[in-house]
Amino acid sequence: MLVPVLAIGGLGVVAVIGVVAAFVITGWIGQPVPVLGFEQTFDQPINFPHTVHASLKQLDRIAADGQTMEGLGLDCTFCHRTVTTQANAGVPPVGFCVACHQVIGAEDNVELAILRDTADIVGDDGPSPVNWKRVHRLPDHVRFVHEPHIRYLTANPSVVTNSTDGVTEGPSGVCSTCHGNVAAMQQVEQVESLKMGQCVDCHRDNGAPTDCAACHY
Amino acid sequence: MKLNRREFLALTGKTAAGAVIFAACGLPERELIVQSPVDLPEDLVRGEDAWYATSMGDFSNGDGVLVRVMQGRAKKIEGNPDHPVNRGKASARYDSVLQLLYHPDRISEPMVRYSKSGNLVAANWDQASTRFKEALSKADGALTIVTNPIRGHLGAVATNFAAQYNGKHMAFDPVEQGVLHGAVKSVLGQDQLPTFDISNAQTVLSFGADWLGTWGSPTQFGVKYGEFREQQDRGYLIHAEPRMSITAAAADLWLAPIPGTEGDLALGIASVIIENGMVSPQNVAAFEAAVPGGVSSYQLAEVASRTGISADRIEKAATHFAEHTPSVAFGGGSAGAHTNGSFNLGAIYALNVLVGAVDAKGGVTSNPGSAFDDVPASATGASFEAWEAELAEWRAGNVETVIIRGADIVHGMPNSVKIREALEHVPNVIAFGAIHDDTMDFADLVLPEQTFLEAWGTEIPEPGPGYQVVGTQQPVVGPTITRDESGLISDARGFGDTLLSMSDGSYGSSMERLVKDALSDLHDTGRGSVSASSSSLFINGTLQRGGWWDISTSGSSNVGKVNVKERNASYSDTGSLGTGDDFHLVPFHSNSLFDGRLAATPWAQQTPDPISSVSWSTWAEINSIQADELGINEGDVLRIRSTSGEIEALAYPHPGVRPGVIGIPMGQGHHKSGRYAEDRGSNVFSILADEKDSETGALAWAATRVRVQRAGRRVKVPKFEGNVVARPVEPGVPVLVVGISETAEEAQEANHHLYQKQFLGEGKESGSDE
Repeated sequence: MLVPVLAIGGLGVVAVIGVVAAFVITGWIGQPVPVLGFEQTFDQPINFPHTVHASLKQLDRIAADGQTMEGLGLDCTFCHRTVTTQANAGVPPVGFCVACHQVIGAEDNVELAILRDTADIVGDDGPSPVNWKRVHRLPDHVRFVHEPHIRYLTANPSVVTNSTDGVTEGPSGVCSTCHGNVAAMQQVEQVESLKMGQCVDCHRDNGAPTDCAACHY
Repeated sequence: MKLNRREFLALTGKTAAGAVIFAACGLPERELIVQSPVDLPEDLVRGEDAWYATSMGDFSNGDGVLVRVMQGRAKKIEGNPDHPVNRGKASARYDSVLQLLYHPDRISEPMVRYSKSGNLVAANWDQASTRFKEALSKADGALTIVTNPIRGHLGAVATNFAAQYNGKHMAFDPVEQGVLHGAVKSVLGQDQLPTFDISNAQTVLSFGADWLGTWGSPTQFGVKYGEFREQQDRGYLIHAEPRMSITAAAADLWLAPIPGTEGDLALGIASVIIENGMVSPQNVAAFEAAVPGGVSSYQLAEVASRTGISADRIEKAATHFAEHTPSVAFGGGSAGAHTNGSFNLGAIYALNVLVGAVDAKGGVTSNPGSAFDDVPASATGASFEAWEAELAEWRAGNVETVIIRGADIVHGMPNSVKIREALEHVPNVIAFGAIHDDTMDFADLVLPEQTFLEAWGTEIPEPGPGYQVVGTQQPVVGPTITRDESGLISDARGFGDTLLSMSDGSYGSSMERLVKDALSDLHDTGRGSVSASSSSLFINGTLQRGGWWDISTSGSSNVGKVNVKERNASYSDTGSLGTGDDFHLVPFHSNSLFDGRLAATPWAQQTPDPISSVSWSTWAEINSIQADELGINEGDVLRIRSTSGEIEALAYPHPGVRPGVIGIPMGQGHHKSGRYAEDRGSNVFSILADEKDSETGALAWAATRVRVQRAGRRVKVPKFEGNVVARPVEPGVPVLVVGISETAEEAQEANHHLYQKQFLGEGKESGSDE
């Protein structure tokens, strides 16, 4: 179908179509519309399983010793420590991970081997940071501060729309409003649109400011 | 579907173009990266600032500061409210210093010159250390370490390192304080500079020292000046200086003596006080014991003619000084930078004896010695005479290795000493620094040095606040990554740490260890502002507070005698300098650049001078009336010639300078020093004549006479003043227009006021109500 279009149009027409398509596709990558699902997810430098750490249920996977596994049920704030006080949720430093994983986890676990190498526990490359890829990304002209959102949702659990393995309250549950049930995700993906419409709707429903400068400053 | 060859080619090209467009519009990979470091120090937490207490290093006389650090980067420097020197107050220079840390021209790696005619080439620290060790291996007995006058442990490290190689440690200060130290020693019997209880004084009489701008400890004095003016009658400030500095501008009475006659003026004031019996006979006896020859040859009329100040103004100053007590007198700066500098300053400090102000409330406050046995409380540059002798050794090839740090000697020395030639005769010149300066052009090894924000150290403020203070300096930022993450902004190391690593280890292993051991020793004394159950808690407590002080300590004076070896000033000759008009050159510290050590920073460059409002250039202040007579207009390029050389500066006629005097700021005229300072303005140090103080051999940097000639060009002076017409902003509150030949009182009396209604009704026409 494309070939006849290209055949009848000149290079200029194709270029215009290309530019328009580029805008649409770029816009979709940055701000996905729900038509095709969001599915913004990436292979990370270390295949970190949120399920093992945050789930409250029995897991699909089997431990090295053949036993069934249950999720640890850690609160989100256990690792994302600044989420209740600051703009950023905060990604934990590697040193924090190896506080447990220095001893916990099999020695031949491939992902943990990368982690331990990064933290300079094994290997001789020296310590190096982990470059995680951001899954939830708002445009540069939006300022989002986690702290007041967490505070409000904690005080008003009825507003929480999703759940973390059925929990809608407390330091695990409230995050699900925007991030979905991360505890059930083997690889984290974006489940809410996180577009301006969603922000404004929620602000309006909850009596939060809807003036432009609330987010664009 | 059938495609012919032409269609196939067109389709291929269009597809390729489309692919390029799609690829270019995607999100760049780096925007998706969230870096998780291995460790997360407290100052790397996103969104949370950390404040570290430290000291200002070479950029103040011991101010304590707090540095705001966000995610590992220093953002702002403020005064430390706990610190007894500046008590939380800051100066404009603090902000400039940050720009040295992140300067785009910061030296990033060591550089080596393999032959004298070769270029500096980049090297790593291993190669640099090898070169350093080679230079030291031949330097026994032939090593000189040149630094700025550094206080605290860093100074002690340099001195000990030199001693280890049987060498010497010489401090260089282009604006020598040796005369001041000498006068304080001879008149007040103190080894370290005293401070002044300005807060509690009723009258302050200062000579030559721009203590509100650049002299001594301006932040400390600025706080005290605020308290001085908060007194019920606001205090009374008398300032004597040939040009109007920021201190002269703040004075209630400004006296502009002929340069070099400040000592005469001081003794003239004393003579009026004694003759009119304004002070007790005991004080008179103590004063006459301190001033050999007394004041008999300083009668009012004679002094008025010698100093060029009218008798009634001298009397006014004397009356205030003697009758509105407590009063305090001090001097420095250009008053001591003459061939009779020791006499001038001695006479000035002796005035305190006459009014009983020595170690008294509202007078001179002596400072105690150092809290450490091995670290002196005072530091001053070697005398110019000593430098001339040293450079002769360099020229003769008797010095094998010279290590230079914090002293741009090529910029700071007058042409007459031929410093470049001397450096060329030294086989190994090793220079430390953060920015490539003029001296490094002659270095065989250039080593990137950490700034005071990255290094450990201690600081003993001079002048201190009247009791023992040890300021602490700690690294507030770690090594800083470049913006493109390709490497470090500077692979710098500390001067102290580098010397310690090259030494035999007898003095210490690292600056951090040295500082912590010294603090541990302080803990053992069991006194002072920090008390803790263990030395590690004491060290942490001291670092958190920015220092340690013991208010129970004090110094004391032992009044001696004024040095009267040379009472009259002599000046350099202008006879052979060709055509032009003779002026007396009075160089002065730039308020923002100081002596040039901050010239590399754009904030300091663009900070307007508080009097002329000029920035980014070198200007020459000339009395307005005299400029009119000579046909010199603002912006005329002037050729200023002395026996040492010639520079150019932009004419800035204004009323606040004594006729016959030309005032030129220091700090510009670097050939190097980074992109903001390079080849900007003129270097007034270069044309200073080699006149010396007769007693100490210090450079008499205010004793140069120059011949001034217009170069025939005119440049717009980069200044704020005059860009907007001054107009009264409130109805009924006029602007007082002071003419160039009248005083403020005379203008007031003659009603030279400018009212708002004149602007509104008559446009921009200026005038008075008369």
